[in-house]
Amino acid sequence: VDPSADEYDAFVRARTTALLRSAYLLTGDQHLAEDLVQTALARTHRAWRRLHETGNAEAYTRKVMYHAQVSWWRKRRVAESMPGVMPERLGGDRYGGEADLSNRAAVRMTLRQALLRLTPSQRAVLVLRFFEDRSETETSDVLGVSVGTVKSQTSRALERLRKVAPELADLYVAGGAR
Amino acid sequence: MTFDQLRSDLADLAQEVSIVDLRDRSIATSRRTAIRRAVGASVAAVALIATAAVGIMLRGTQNGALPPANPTPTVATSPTPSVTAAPSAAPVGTTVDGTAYYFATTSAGFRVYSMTGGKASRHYDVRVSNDAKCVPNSLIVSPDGRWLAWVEDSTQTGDIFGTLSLARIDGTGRRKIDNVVCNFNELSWTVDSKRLLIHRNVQNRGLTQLVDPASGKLDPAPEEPVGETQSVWSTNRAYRAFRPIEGGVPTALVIEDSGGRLVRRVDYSRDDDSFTTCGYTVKGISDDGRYVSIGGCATDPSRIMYGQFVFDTTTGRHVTFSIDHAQVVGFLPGGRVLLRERSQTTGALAVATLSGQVLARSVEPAELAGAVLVGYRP
Repeated sequence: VDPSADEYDAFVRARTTALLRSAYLLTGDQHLAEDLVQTALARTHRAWRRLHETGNAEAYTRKVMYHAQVSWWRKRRVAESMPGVMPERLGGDRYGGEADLSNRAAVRMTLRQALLRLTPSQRAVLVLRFFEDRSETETSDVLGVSVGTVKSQTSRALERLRKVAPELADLYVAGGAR
Repeated sequence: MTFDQLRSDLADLAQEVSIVDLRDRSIATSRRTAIRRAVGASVAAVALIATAAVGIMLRGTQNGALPPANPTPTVATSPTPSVTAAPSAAPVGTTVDGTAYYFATTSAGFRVYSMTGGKASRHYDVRVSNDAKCVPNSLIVSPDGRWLAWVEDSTQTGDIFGTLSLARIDGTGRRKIDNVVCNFNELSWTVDSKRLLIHRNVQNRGLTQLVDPASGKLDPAPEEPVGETQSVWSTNRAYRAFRPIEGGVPTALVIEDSGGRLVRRVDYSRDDDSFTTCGYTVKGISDDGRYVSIGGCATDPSRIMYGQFVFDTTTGRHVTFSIDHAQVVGFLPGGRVLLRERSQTTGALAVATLSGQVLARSVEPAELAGAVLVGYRP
């Protein structure tokens, strides 16, 4: 038994859930998310010996995934081609109360469609900053861009989010950044 | 409500994905790729030998009329540019002074042109595949018209980074700098054309640098301002315009003088389709600090270099020009503005006053109808 192969298997088992969740937010689609993570894991597998020795497998896989997602717009134009029918405006009783479940579903749908109307790089910075809770510096490392670029992309992403889904903007933007 | 709500809703949305085992699929993909690469390397080696055999003959037949597809990266003594005059339509009325620079898509890549007095000249062919998305998204000419810069895609880095080529306008003296970001940030020249601002990825670190086209020397760029959008400066450097970022979102339009004193703060909004996707950006400011040009914001697949409107910040009104579908290329000294008129079949450059009066107009020759304007030297 190749111990290196066992370690790759353990790495995949441990990280697939987190990677798929990020990938789903990046692509808005189950199959595309699987393809994206599969692509990243395949690259990781090819470089496994080196990555295992340096202990950088997790960071490498994430970088590959985010870079692949941003570059996919050239090949698939996922975000630009997916039309979105916006649901009714969200009600005020979002959490708790009788309307909770339907409201949560509406928020999900609105947010998913709003994310797909952002550019891939805008989506990437939002997922890294607000889903993975990465700092601006960590986000800049993953994407390989400057901190200033992360700031400007985040700002553009939030402004666009406000434009394409004003009902979300009321909730997210009015309160200011953390 | 704060961004904690966004965090919570993203986490909630992410729960929708079904967790599947990707171990076998990833290993199978990895092995397929390894086999494909091994086969590809063998084919490439054969192709290289074949190309070397016919290369001399092909070059001989072109008789030096076109620059080579891959000029050497070393600085060469520059021959006089072989500028080819092209047929052009007759200009209407007074022609626009100065020289405008363009690129047009060709079957072999992208062709750089200039237009002076309504006549087009061909300068250089950037010979790449039309799939090279970074090139049209980055190609730019320096304000003095001497230098050309563009980024070519790198397949090894997933098309996010590429190789910057920096050359004289005729393509000679080409230098290359690797790992330059091509779709997050645009290349931009300093006003004196002495340095080009680039964004690079070096050992997985994002760097913003200034490169001297003459020497190739790289220096760190000044820190980008925190809490505001990128500034635009008037040509006389007396005023700058920007948008403060509050709560993560650009807010009002602010004009300051060169000493950092507030001149004006304006709440600008425009509820038409042009700005519904990602808001507006300030593209330029006049020498008296009164007028700004306003445009949309760039997205990944494209860049927006110029403004769509000229806005008078003292009256809150847009300037109306007697030109249809005009892009606002930039403000000129003496209270003038350079506009580009575009339609399906033709275009024109025009100089107008900031009261809207058109002073000069040059109709663009037919070969520039679909071209992108990437520089102007007054």
